Amino acid sequence: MSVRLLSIAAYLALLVVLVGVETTARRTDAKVPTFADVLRGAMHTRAGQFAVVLAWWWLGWHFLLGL
Amino acid sequence: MDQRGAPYEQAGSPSPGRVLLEPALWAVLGAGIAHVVRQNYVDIATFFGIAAVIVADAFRVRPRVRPFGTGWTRRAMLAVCVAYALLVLPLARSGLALQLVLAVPGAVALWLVWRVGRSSLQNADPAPRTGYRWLWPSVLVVGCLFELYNFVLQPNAQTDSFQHPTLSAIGTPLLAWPVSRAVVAGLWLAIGFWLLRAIGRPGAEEADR
Repeated sequence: MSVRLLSIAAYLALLVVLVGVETTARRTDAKVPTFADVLRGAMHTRAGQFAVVLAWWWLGWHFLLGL
Repeated sequence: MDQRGAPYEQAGSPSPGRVLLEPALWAVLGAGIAHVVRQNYVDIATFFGIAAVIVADAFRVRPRVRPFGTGWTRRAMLAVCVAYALLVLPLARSGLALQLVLAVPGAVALWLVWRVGRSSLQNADPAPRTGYRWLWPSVLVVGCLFELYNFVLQPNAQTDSFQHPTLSAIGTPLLAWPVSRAVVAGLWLAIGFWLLRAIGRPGAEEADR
């Protein structure tokens, strides 16, 4: 397996982990916060609100334009 | 004067200087430094500009305003997202038009966050679950470090590495197809709506489920 495929596999593994954590968090008896809970927590400060909205905007800008 | 009869908020936050201890501010500055390395001037200006806005926001005195997001139904937001996707569909990826279409939601969103002020924090729900709060940040930090590792191994800051692709190097060809780009743009805008509703009217994004 090439290094490139290993790198892509690592990203896919990370995605699987993220989906797994979210799936676990959505069980009614889960102690793990959902990603939405984490975002709400991050937005409990004004700096957090600006940072989260900036991150959202930049991800769209960066990936959709391919910059 | 807002609907509660209070004409103005108190001057800034209770201790405006504490903004310098905010992890979110330093995260924005750190990302700005990364963009200096990438030599992407739009991103440099945006991230350092927002860092300045965060500091200014902590010190400003401004009229308290009505929370936003109270008049938008889910159906209306869905319609806007679909219209936005259709707007993006014919636009060339390298054109100025797409840049403008992507810049507008970000500018409007950041302006709304600025406008709502600290009143948005008054009714914010506490994080509903406190266990395992370290889990998400840990996974995301690992992802960011892996992204940084691949970025450092690029031939230079502007040239992707074939063997060590960053996420954008992988995502660029996937979003080269106009239909995939339009779908992602619509989803991206929907996420933006969710964030703004969470800020402008805490709890609304849950109530609308």
